[in-house]
Amino acid sequence: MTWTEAVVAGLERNGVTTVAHLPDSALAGLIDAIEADERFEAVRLSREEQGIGVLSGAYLGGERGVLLCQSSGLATTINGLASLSKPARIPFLGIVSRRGDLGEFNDAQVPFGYAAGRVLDDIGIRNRRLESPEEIERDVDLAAKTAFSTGEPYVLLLDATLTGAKDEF
Amino acid sequence: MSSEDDMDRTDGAGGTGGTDENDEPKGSDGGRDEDESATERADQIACTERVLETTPEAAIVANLGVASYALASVADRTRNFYCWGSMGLTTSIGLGVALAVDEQVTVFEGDGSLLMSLGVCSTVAACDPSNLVIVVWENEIYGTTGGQSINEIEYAAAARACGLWTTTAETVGEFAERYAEAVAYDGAALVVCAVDPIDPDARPPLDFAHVARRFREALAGDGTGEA
Repeated sequence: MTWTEAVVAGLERNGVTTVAHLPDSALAGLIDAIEADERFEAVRLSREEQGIGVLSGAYLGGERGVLLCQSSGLATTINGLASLSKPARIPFLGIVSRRGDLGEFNDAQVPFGYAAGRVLDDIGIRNRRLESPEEIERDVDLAAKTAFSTGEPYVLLLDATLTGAKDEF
Repeated sequence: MSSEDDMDRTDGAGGTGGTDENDEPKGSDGGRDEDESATERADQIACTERVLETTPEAAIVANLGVASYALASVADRTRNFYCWGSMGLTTSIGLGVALAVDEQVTVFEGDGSLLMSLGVCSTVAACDPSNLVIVVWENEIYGTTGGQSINEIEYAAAARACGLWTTTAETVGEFAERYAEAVAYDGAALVVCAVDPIDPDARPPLDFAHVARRFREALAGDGTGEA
């Protein structure tokens, strides 16, 4: 099973049906798989922040969702996470490719990507960095379970060592 | 259909511009007598009442501030989701609800909030849920922060350029008709309603988690809610 298939399996097992996303090269295979899979309703956003709204709305309507994006896009979601998800106690699941660390060639990706986990920590959003694919199905499964059980956001940060970095060196 | 007859709107052309008393929101029941604006403006409270008369069971997602206060002053319903934060995400929330349920979903969006996130119109248009109507209350001010003016744009034209079906209204009667058309339209629809600034006293419950939970229970309540 590829890591992409493992993520799909983890989402499917937890009844996640709404998938909001913006293109990302590291997640391209996962997003393609989701869009081609009739079990999921894929929503193409024009800015990642909208994903907090769309997925919160989907939850209020009885569905479970996930946001797939890159760490630069996660940066646009901070106000939504802090002023909607947290205070309204609306769960949120994010699967985010984390730029800015090992394998990064682009300095513009470094400040937020490298600090993404700490920024989330500061606003009380639980998160976990995954560096290799061995445990990803378990972690997607357990992240979804704890997010929807506690009514809290949870963000999985997928490092380039897991997804495969762009070779631009 | 009514997209074409939007084009005869005259706001912005020879209006009173900066001569209005913009420092304080006007009361809903006053301030019209000396208003020389070229555009007629509807009463937001009366328009909110028309929405509840036309679609009494609608799930309503209201932008933070005036849109929520006006809705709370008309009726505090379990099917009201009032935002207390996340300005700019109101229409996104409504889109998510509309994709999840088979019932009428109506968004009470502020012009300032929509301007903050105009790109969401393209997201709504791409999904095009027929059960979603977005009402944009165009009061041309940031009402909750003291009435500061907003950079004016043509919201209906912008939303139309993003692929949405749009219509506009400037009186309560016109709004009631256009809202009913928008509900009947087989796709996502956006109604821009020019309104006088108001400053309602009513407030939604401050317990945000309570608002979210009762809204979800009203829409999807089957005893399995996790939150």
